[in-house]
Amino acid sequence: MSDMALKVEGLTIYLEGRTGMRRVVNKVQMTVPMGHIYALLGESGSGKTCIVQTILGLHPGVPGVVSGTAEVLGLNVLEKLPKYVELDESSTPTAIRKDMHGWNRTIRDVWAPMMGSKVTLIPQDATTALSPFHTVGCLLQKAISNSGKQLGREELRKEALNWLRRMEMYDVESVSNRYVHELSGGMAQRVAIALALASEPRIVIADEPTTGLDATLRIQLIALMASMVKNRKATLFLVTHDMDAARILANEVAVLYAGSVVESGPVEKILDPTYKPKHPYTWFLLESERRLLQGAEMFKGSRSISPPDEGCPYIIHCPRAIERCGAERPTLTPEGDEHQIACWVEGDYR
Amino acid sequence: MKGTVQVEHLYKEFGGSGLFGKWGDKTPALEDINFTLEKGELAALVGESGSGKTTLGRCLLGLIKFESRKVKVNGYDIASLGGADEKAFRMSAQMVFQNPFSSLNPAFKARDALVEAIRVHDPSISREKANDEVEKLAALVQLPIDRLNEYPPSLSGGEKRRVVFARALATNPDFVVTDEPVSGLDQPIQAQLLDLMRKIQRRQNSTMLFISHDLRLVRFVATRVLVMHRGRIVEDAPAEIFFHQQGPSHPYSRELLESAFHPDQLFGPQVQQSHPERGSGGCSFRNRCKFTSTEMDQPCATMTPPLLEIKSNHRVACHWCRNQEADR
Ligand SMILES: Nc1ncnc2c1ncn2[C@@H]1O[C@H](COP(=O)(O)OP(=O)(O)OP(=O)(O)O)[C@@H](O)[C@H]1O
Ligand SMILES: Nc1ncnc2c1ncn2[C@@H]1O[C@H](COP(=O)(O)OP(=O)(O)O)[C@@H](O)[C@H]1O
Ligand code: SF4
Ligand SMILES: [Mg+2]
Ligand SMILES: [Mg+2]
Repeated sequence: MSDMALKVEGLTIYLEGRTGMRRVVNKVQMTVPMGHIYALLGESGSGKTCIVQTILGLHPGVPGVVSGTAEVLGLNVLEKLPKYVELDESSTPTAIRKDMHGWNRTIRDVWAPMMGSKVTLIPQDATTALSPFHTVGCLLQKAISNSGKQLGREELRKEALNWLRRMEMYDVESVSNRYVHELSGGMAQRVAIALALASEPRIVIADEPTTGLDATLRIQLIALMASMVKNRKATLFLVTHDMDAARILANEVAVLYAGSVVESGPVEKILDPTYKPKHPYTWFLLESERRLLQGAEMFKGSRSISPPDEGCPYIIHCPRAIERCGAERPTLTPEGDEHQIACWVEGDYR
Repeated sequence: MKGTVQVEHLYKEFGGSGLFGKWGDKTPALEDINFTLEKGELAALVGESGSGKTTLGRCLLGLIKFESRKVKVNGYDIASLGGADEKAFRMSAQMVFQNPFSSLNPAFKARDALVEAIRVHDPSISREKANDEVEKLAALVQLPIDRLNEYPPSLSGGEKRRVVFARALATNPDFVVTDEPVSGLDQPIQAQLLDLMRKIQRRQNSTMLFISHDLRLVRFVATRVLVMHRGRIVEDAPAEIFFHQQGPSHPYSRELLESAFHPDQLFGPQVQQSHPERGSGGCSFRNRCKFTSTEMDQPCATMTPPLLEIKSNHRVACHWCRNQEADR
């Protein structure tokens, strides 16, 4: 087996909206070695969930993957997909077939044996994503059995309660007898985290696992996830807005802007507060965080609404754009050790 | 009376678990809640996950049953709502729910959801007129008109929030509860939406209860801060004092503020905490409290600290804080 937990190459995703086909993810490239914690940062709507769901074969709309590979534990999960979208010379996408067989096949052959045991997902909206038909205790016991541990009924029950305690819940007996709709938003979120960890997977994919939790809990839980994953030499793919968590726990980070990775590399290079980010969007992210903490005037508004089709997607907001930025799309280029950046202008930003 | 909220001795207990609450024990979710809001206030309700914030919001809007001596919102007695009163009340008080994923029906376009909201409250309005109203609302929350024709699953998180917001504003309410309206968004979008929220609230001079777990954001908008811990309000302070002057008094509020602005200090070896059982008497925060000491053991472990005024407009429920004040 390869030592890469996840390997995504040239992943481009089109989705069909009311206004026609839209490219939501563009040539994304990421490699996550086994045992690492990889953080994916980017504003809401930048395509983070789309990437996660495509890798997991869960996409809600009829998927329009054009190209690219996504290897999970050495298996290309996009391989069996029939081409669904074709690009003509001017790169206009057209739908060529609408059947879902490819997806169903992939899900059956590739995902069914792995999902929930080798790979688990912490979904973004736990309240709606968790099964409403089972009690919390029952869900947890199922997840624990998925780890392959042979436990008696009583041990299983105890272990489920332990998981709830680890998630900093009180009255665990009562909580384990409840259904998901009887929990608060943050509690449902914590149950989802426990479920994903309890089956002792090789890869945990967490899609904004801590939104809706207060600062104390948020950090405690991310630290807990990280330490569990590290102890078992498993991999955590963390989609988040939480710069602190990424900075302190992750090994590598990628910054996504409007569907493109604009900067990626080791955390200490990209997120260090004293380090000068190379990409202007990374600077913007760090600066918004700094302003929030210091109570300074905040930046307002989304940045990744309708980026241009050509050239650099960040050009509208970029204070240092040059002519070339409007004409050609910058690709990720190495900037020293494993650090990559997609920008035509050389040198530090500010 | 419009835009005022008076709550005296509100209790809420959820029936046991399971369908119809047949199994398990009762869960107390809110205990002895007392506070008032004046017209035009923007009060933030903060506190850890599961402390009862959403439940309190739902009680105030009469969406769930509860026990109390008195709960009056916009001048209506919530416990005895009925008939025409109920209808008028529902128009005058609105809630933005915590989960935008499930509070928008995926089968309705954003536009239809809004038209629906307007027409439910005023069935006599024509479809065209309602449509015009919707476009005005969209402009108010800065949602591009073309996004109105999308179905919720293809809207981004920020756009969904705007739709939910617009829906709550459709009836020009005097009192609005917004439950985590911006969580899960990135900071610039949060800042923009909160800015918008405050502007609209000021313009309409409505009263708002803003539920949030992020004190960094609360600081930008709130005029008052209510802190909840395990079903009780433990501190009620003007935002000015809480954020800018001497800071909060209750040990839990201090911890919240500290961790919001110095998150890095929280990383490190985690100790598992045991939590006092609910209903065991004493202060629910005592196991985590830095200030309780052996001589304080008595009151903290046995007597629930009452929410008392330590300065005008500033109430705290903590034995230690009360001693401190008395010593002065
Ligand atoms: N329908 C229900 N049945 C039983 N218990 C419930 C129900 N709804 C909420 N609870 C319980 O009441 C308590 C308060 O829940 P509430 O949703 O008000 O928390 P919250 O402060 O909004 O938390 P969060 O920040 O996580 O959303 C929790 O312990 C929760 O488990
Ligand atoms: N089922 C869908 N159909 C069409 N567009 C979609 C669908 N799901 C998401 N999108 C669009 O794709 C973009 C990326 O969404 P998403 O991956 O959810 O962003 P993120 O997770 O980064 O917030 C958004 O602009 C969103 O509107
Ligand atoms: S009442 Fe006692 S235990 Fe509770 S917060 Fe105050 S000092 Fe701490
Ligand atoms: Mg997402
Ligand atoms: Mg809530």
